[in-house]
Amino acid sequence: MSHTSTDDSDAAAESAGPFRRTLTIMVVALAILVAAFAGLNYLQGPKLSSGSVDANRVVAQGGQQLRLFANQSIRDVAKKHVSVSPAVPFTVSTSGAVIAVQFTDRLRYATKYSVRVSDVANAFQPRVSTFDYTFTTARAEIYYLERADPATGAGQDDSIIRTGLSGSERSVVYSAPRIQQFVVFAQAIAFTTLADDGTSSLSLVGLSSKLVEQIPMPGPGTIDELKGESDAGLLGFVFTSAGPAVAREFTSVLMRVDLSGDHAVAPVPDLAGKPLTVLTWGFLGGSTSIVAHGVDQTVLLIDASKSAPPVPLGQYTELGRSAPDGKSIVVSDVFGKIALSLADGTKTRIPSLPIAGASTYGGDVVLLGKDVARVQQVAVFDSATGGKFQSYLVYESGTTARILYQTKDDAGSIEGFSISPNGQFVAVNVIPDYAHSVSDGYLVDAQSTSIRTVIIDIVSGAVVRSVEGFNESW
Amino acid sequence: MGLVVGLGGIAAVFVVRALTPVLGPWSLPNRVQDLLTLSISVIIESLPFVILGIVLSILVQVWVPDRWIMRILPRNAFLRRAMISFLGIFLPVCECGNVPLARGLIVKGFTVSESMTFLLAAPIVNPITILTTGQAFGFDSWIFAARLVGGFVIANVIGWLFSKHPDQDSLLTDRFAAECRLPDPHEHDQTRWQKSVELFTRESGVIMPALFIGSLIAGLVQVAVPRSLLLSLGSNPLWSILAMMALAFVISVCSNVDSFFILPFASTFMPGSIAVFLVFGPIIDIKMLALMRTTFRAKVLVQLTVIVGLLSALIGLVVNYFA
Amino acid sequence: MPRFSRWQGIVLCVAALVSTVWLAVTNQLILYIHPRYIVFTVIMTVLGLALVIASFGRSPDQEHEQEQEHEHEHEHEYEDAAPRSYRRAISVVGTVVTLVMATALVVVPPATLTTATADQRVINSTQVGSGTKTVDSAASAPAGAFARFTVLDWSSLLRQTTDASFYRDKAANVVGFITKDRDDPQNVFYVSRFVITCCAVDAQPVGVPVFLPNWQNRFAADHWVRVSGSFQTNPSTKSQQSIALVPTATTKVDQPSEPYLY
Repeated sequence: MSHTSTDDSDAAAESAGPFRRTLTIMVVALAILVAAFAGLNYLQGPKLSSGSVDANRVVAQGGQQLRLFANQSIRDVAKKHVSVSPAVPFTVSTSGAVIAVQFTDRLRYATKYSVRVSDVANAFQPRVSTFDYTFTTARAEIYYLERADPATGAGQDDSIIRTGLSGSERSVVYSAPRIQQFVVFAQAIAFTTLADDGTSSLSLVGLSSKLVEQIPMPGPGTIDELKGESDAGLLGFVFTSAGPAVAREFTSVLMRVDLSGDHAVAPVPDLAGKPLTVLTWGFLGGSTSIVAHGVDQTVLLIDASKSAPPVPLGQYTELGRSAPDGKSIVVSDVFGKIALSLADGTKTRIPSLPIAGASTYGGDVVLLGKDVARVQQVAVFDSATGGKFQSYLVYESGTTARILYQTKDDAGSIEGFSISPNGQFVAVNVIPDYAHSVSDGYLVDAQSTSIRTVIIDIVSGAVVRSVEGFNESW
Repeated sequence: MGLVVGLGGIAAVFVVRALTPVLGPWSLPNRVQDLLTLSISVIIESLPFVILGIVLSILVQVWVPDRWIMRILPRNAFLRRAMISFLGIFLPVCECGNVPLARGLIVKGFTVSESMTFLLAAPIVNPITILTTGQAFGFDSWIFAARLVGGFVIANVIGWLFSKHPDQDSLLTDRFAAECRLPDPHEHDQTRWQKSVELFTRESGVIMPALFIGSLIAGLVQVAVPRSLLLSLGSNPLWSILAMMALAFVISVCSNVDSFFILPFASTFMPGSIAVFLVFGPIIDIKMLALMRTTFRAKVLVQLTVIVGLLSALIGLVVNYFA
Repeated sequence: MPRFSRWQGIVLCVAALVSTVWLAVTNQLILYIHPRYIVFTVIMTVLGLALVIASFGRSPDQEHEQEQEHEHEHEHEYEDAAPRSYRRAISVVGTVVTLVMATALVVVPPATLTTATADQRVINSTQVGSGTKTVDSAASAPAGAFARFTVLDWSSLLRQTTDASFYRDKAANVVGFITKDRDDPQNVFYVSRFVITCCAVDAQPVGVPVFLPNWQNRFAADHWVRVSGSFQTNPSTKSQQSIALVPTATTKVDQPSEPYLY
């Protein structure tokens, strides 16, 4: 390269003519292109880049969010511009480029939801656009226990089975002899098995690893009312030591196991700090709180994740079940059943509504939501058939009752029921022909060999699935 | 003699440096303290790259045989500049080290437009930048593609434009042009080592003041301009691009790591503006302008800034429109 | 001028290089740059110092000779249209500024960034960077792991979910400096840290809101504290943060030797 002198700057400027021209043309051309694309961008409204929703959590818990990410920050979206179909209650909040649609309640399983947000506007631009987003919620999965029929020979395995609510596909998750009860957690199944002497043992089996870990008990005894709270990793049960009543260390004591911690069994303390003896107990859905009915008939609210003392909720003759959202429980006094809201302590009497004019006698009841809509097992005195009680499962709301299930020819017996966490389905445990039922002869929690579980859509009343077995876990 | 004085000076500075913190905490106002911390961090961060750049420049000028680099480059001007754009792959210095290296290449015989191509392409088209950008945004993202292609295109467009200039030397500052024009003054009595040291002194005399002033201005702007101002503009398709150019200009962060720096903004800013930050930043920012001013005339830098700005804005707008 | 500029370059080199060496020796380089650059910086600094010392070795004669050759180039130095005096003033100011910077570099004790920068850059204004905790990874982490979560981990989790049940049973124990909450400075502060990707210039303030009524009675902004407690629905009505750390213990601590997070 030759370095020419720059002394004569006039000459340089003159010879720089083509350069100047190119430079000018380039700047102008670029400026036009930039202006053109700026205009295009200006006229283009906000776009939906992506959306995210947890299809599994949205059916398991209320208050879950669908987050719609716009490609730019947008003005606050008014609730009237958002529609969700099928219609569900929701709230809308906007922050930056994110529209959060929060579903107040749990959504229905395996349902395609369409969300449309109209009039989405950027603070700077004239154009508005409409976002459409659809998602399909997770299918319901249910686990149930199918015990081997003792008639086909002793020593066969009982199975924990997983199935969906449609089709007939099912898979055996775990098999072992004499499974008494089980609870499903996110990563594992906790189950109790019975020994020949009637004592129980508690084990955990990994859902994917299939490794079995036995959890040591504070001595031989029986385990009953095994319940768990999957999100918190908490397990609880009622334990009674083996041996004659006077010599027992524990009698109907509520025990807890923290599966996210050291897996040690520890008694839940009562108001005096001693092991709590209970009549019945349960987790409040979706929380670490326990409600327990003490032997002195006090209903206690206990946070199982802490060692704080229990909070007494009052004396009741019975403790019923808690709503799937954990916000209310059912208790009974001598006059009947009461819905007790844990949020504000309000009490609402929940009578058993008559069916076709006949008065009913209420059994187990589960509240479905904030009001007193509920599913209840009722018995009706049937004078026509000569003093027989007929058993129904009914949906009650306001002053009306609708029969969800009754056994064929009223020959069977409703043994129990449970509500799916999103309140969409009820699973009913039925012995179809009670007169000819045969027990499987387990020393604790014996069950009829013919027991079936029927799953019913609460809104439509339609039977969606029926399986052989019981102890369903959603 | 000079050696003794010099070593004494170094020792004295070291002693002062070691003693002052003992004199107790200096309760400077927070803003002044932060200004110093920010400016010093730019200096300390850039210093090793500047030294690496000077050392590479010395290697190219003094130790690589004449015309050795020239020989492997194609004759065709376009291909030649395209090849030069990829030189950064073998000389992975980030942009602060590139200025001394580009100066060295001019001295070695590159035309000014060719060295500009190198200067603009090397910070983006180099293995470290490619890797960090890919890691941050994904190798299949719009942003990654826009940055690499954009950097290459801008460097070659600028190279082509300035190659049109009939008098390449007039693009340079007189002082640097004069340095280039000098036949090596001590060819006869200087060893290569002496020449290397001489070059180091000369280059550091030019580059270091520019680095110090650039760092101070970068620090000042950081303390003075509220970040929230830039962020509030971030999600508008047009303003976000200007805001990102402003941020890139102000922040003067190295191209090797700017992807990680800007990644947290990716959620609030539109993708096109992120691409603009990544394309514009390595080429034009406060620190780089201060460093480039050592070599190029102010007028050239203005032309450069305008064209690079327009090209990056165009890239950003296109990405914003389609992405 | 050239002689002066040479001298100035070497002086600036000495100031910067010696400071870097001292910072490296006293393990304070991390106040300015990301640790991944330390080795590279030290190597280059040593190389730079060697070159500086070599430049001292050049005989004054040579310098003189050199200088004369440059002196007549000087005539061409500023042939732009701008007036000479204006040019000269700029150049004098530039020199003074660089020398002031160099003096500051050598004299002022190193320090971390303060709340001034945290306020100016708006705490948690940017989203999680790479390598931070995601809700999924945190949900499956063993219980003990939460005790080691940093301010950065928690703040990125808070950004991803404000589901109170997620934070249940997750005890936090974090160290950081105090920054006031803008909405409820009375009861809420952030225990905050700067996150560095390259050097202090790109520091991003992150913080976890802490609900401690009348915290100013015990602490002041910029104090370093260790806060342990658990995340709960924020009791503050004024603060915009829906979840806050409700401390069981808050103690004043010394600034950690590694004040930044990466």
